[in-house]
Amino acid sequence: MTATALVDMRRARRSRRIANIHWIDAIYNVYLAGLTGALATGILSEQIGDNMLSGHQLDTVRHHGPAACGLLVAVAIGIGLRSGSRGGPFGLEPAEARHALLAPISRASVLRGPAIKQARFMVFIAGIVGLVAGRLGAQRLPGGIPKWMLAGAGFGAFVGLTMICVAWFAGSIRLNRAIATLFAAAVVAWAVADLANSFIIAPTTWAGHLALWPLGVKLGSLGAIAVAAAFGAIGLRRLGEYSIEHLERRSGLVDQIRFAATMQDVRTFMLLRRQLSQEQHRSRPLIGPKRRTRRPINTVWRRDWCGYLRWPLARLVRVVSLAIIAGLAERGVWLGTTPLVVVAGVCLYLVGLDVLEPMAQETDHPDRRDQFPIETGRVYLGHLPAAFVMMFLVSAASAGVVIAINHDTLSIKLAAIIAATCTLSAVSAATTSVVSGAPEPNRRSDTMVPPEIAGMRVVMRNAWPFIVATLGALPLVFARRAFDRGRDPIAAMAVLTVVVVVVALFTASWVRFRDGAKAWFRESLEQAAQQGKR
Amino acid sequence: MASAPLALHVNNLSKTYGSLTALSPLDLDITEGESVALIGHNGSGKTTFLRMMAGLLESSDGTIDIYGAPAGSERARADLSYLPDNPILYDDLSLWEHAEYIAKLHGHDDWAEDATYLIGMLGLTHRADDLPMTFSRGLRQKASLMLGLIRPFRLLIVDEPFVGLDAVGKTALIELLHTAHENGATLLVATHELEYLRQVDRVIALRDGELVHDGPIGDTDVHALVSPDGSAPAR
Repeated sequence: MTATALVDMRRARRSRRIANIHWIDAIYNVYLAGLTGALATGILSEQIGDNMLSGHQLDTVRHHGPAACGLLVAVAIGIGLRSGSRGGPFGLEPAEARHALLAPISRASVLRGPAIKQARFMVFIAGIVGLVAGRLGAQRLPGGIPKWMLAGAGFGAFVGLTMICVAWFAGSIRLNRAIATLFAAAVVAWAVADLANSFIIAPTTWAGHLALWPLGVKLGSLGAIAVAAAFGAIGLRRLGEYSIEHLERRSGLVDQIRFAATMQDVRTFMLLRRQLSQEQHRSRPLIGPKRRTRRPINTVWRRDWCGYLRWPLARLVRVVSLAIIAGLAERGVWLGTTPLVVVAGVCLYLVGLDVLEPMAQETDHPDRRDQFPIETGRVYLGHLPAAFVMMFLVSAASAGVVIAINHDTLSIKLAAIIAATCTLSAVSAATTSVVSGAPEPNRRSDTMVPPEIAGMRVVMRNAWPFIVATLGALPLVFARRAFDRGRDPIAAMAVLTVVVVVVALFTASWVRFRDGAKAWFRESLEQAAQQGKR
Repeated sequence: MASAPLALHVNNLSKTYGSLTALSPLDLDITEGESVALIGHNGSGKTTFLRMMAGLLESSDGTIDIYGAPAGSERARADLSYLPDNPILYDDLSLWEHAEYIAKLHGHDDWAEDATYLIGMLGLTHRADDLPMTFSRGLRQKASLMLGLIRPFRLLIVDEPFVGLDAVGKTALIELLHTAHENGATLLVATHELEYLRQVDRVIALRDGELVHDGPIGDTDVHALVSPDGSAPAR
């Protein structure tokens, strides 16, 4: 009877939600998503080209393709393991976690509905991504468009479902977080080792064959589906064993994350994300536990380093991983895959957001900040030197990856310049994002501009940090083109390097004088309004 | 004469977060029908203890039994009603729909009469068809109290129920708690309202996660009990 109440109420609420949908809005959203997707596919299609691969290139795909696709599966398994160990992938409504999970009904029956709904959604999204990837792959691979689209969609759905199934399994056996991270790292490392050296066969590589079945069917890859299905079946059967403590904690946070995402509030999103992954600062710094008694040279500089030295291990690992990915992307750009500048830029932008944590804490608490007997701009500016040093260390690590792969003199020179430009661009991008904060609803100045321009401003506001972050790796594209044409690649980087320096200087000036300029603008508006009344 | 059954049996219960001890090993029994107050300073471990009883937090060590069933199990969830200090309600259900849903989830099909009574007692009759998301903090607290009481229970645990309530609400709540107690329920109320302590059979005090008092309040210096260092504030 009680479980029936749950089903009835969920059905009634769903009907009410559907009844409240504004269909015109929904159709418009679908139209926008379709348009964006078509545009992105078109751009990617242009980049990929439509020349069929040569025999040698096809051999390379046959040889390394399964391991590369297997790496995707390994990453999905890693994410699933870590998510499940923290109560994921569930993001229950807080009231549902409080009332339904405390009711005397089987918790498995409460969780099964949301679990299946989530799996369905994941399969759909990952399947669509796979479908598009298959369509793009068919432009250069033999086998025909339908086969590749089917393989792509199937593989995408498999990766998405594997992530969910592994998460259910990890959550239902209450896998310890540290062990989950260790397993995740081992699975990914194994897949990477297989990709680098095909003599070490990773199990995920068998799953990778699924993506390439138009090139040849491997029956062994069906085993991967069976294993994923087994994890899913066990997890689904044991959903009632999930830790309610994790489920309740996640429910509140996921709700807030959704709200922060809706509000385009990057900072709040990051803070909640950290809470979700239980990322807490170390109670003791990594080094230098002694308290200094003499007056430090620069208070803000010292405060920043106190923060960096308390970074939790998870953040350190994340930053190093992003640095490595950025390094590999930079290497890919040099080899000719231009779109990877975006990957390098985004990775370093994310690191920049971590590096600017001390400054972000000032923006989080404006009341505390405004009590300092110093101009806000000066406080912000004071945080930048430590951020630049820290970011340079990370960018240098990325450059180190490039040099480790290819250590000729040209690579070293290119890597050194890119480390400097990426440092400047990543800090500039993250500073813009942190200081801008969340968009203010009903800004007075917004009422003075046409809606089209206000809309463009919102788009620009969100896109600007990514554009600036991408600028850092862009000189590599110019260098590569110059190199291909037999010109000096270092000289070719000069113009964009100057642009990056100018953007960094502009950002620093903006941070320093932003508040003053805003006050002046506000005052001017008020004066104009008063004159209008007269 | 047979002794009353144990409503709550706590055995060597502890909760730690890394190096921080939220609750030191605790042994405690509460018999059926008792009315108990739980006091302590902020951060003394009251909410942690209550949440572990409700099954929302897992213990680091030890066990809790609610009428013989492990805390958090289906049987324990049927016997125990937990009223948290932070009201969490559905955004898209009216107060009346909340009452129906929660009551039915707990197998209470003749809920309408009880809901009318409780909503009336708490002064919410005119808001019964409104969404709680439009309520003030106090009204949300009252709504949450109503939901804790609409369902059948044998053990009622309440965390800071008086916070955010006006004088009328406090009086109504005390009356509802008395009624529940008279109907045979066991009560455990965590509170900072020291006047309420005179109305209970027994007072349990926690300080920094340790049990420092268990018994009738009598002439005990309550201010010293709720002080973080055990000293009574100068008056």
